[in-house]
Amino acid sequence: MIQKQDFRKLSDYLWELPESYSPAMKVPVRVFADDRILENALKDNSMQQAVNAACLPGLVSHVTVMPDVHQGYGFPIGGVAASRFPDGVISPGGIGYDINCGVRLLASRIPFDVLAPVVEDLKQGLYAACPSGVGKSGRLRLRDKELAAVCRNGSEWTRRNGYATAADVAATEDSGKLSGADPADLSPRAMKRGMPQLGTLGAGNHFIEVEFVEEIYDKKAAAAMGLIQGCLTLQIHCGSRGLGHQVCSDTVRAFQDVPRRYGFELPERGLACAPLDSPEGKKYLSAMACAANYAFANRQVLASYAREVFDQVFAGRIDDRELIQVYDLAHNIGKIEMHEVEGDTVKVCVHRKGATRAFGARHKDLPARYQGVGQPVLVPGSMGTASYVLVGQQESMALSFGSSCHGAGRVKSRKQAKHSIRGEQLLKDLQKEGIAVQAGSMPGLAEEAPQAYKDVDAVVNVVHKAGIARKVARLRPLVVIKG
Amino acid sequence: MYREVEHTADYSVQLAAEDLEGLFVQSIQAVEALCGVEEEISALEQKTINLRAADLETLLVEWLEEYLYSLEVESQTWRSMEIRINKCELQAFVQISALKSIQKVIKAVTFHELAVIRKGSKWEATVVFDV
Repeated sequence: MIQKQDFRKLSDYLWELPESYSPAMKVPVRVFADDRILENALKDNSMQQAVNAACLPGLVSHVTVMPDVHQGYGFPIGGVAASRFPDGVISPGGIGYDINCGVRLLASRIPFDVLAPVVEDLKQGLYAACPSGVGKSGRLRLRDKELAAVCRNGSEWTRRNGYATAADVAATEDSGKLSGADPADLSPRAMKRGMPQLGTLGAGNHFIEVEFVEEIYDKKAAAAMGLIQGCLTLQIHCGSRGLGHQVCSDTVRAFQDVPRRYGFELPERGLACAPLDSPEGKKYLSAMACAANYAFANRQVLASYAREVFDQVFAGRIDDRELIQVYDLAHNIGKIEMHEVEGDTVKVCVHRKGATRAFGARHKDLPARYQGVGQPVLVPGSMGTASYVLVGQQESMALSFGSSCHGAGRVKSRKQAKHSIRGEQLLKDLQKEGIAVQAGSMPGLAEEAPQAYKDVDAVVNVVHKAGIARKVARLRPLVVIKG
Repeated sequence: MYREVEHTADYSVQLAAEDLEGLFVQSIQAVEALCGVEEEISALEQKTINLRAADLETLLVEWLEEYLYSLEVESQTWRSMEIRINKCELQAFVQISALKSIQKVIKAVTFHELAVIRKGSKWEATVVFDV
């Protein structure tokens, strides 16, 4: 069992478990955490999962673990690992079943006190306009060819079909389109699941949230992002829905005998993987790109619905009620990137599972708007607690393959949460705090209670102090829609 | 009898039954309970499911994936199952009813630490689901 004394403390917020800890490890594990976060992380299997991830063939430098870490399946949530081209591996478990689960943030110039008289209208309007909940279908009914176009083109499809502006697309990671997506690499079941679900939120920990900018820490970055103190913002958290889940399921199953065929052993089956340049690896990269593009399009369509609701609800109350996109980023994804490793520039596949990209200023992949400040990093808190907006730092490239945390991270299991918290009471408690919640399921709401999550302030403090990403603004929730 | 076990972010169930067929039936019952599945009292349909896998773990995953697909895409649940398992081949005659409501969604069945094993007189498995 891994213990705190097995780690070397490299700095106040960085710990290393050396590869000598286990003979199967290819690289060390580096954990961004304060003392308390590390001690709590040792209470579940997340550190052992990080050790297991460090056993994958072709990894470079180190496996990184973010301070919102918790136990997953295979990789820990909050894990980052980079594998070298061409024969390093890609592991679907290192990306997750909800491929390109991610967050989109939009800002406005609507002062939050304009919301008070219409908060119920806004809540009901968003709940009606943005389908959420188990098994819900969307307003769009795609046919095969249209779905294929969504999977190939992502946000570009939404722009051509009137759901997005050019500015939206520019303010999306990779302009909302991963290259190399071939819908022929999707199974019939993946296509069937994807057809009715574009423009839907799903359930679980997915949400739409209206907030206001409570505090600004970095005026220059906030100005570039359009964040104004006291004004409303909107966050959307969801992913690739059933299509993405099916891609991962299909691939994990198909990869079960791949390690044996390529001559490597894995500590557990959830880490099933294939070399990046193998036919199996290429097929998964293509299918993953399809699912990622679907998710970018999904969040864009939901954003367009939300804009319609804002326009209707605030009509006659304020002239400027536009929602401007700040950024959209993925937190379950595999990205082909160039990174400096031991003085060489190396092409790698960066697995981010419950971790986001966090590139600093002047990175070539950032839009012109953010060249001077760096990439927005979005860290939603739990329901009822603050969310944060940060900006990526150049130092993140060496520290964490340009990656940051993605949320607060769970501390309580769903079983514990639903047995100790009643959804109906939680609703009332949040209402007393001025947060209007609309949820499709009370047990589901209880599982997502704030008490089930880490302290997001502490999590963000670690990435800020460690130099990965710098705080820009804190957002306070006002309306929460959950499936 | 199955029981839910602790997992920080997802659902995990420990299954135990006297035979493999019972284990597979129990796995569906566990998902029904976790998801809060309620069926319509309606006329039943029947379908036959045939699966073949390289090992029992993959067979169990594919079996559960069939059920999750049934819930999500076909809006159906399984009222009863008659299963035959021979090595790693499964044939099941399933009585289907329409889904009335469901409280939670399970995104996928994982292979995480999955082992279908015989312990003493019982077959056991622990399954982790992505939520």
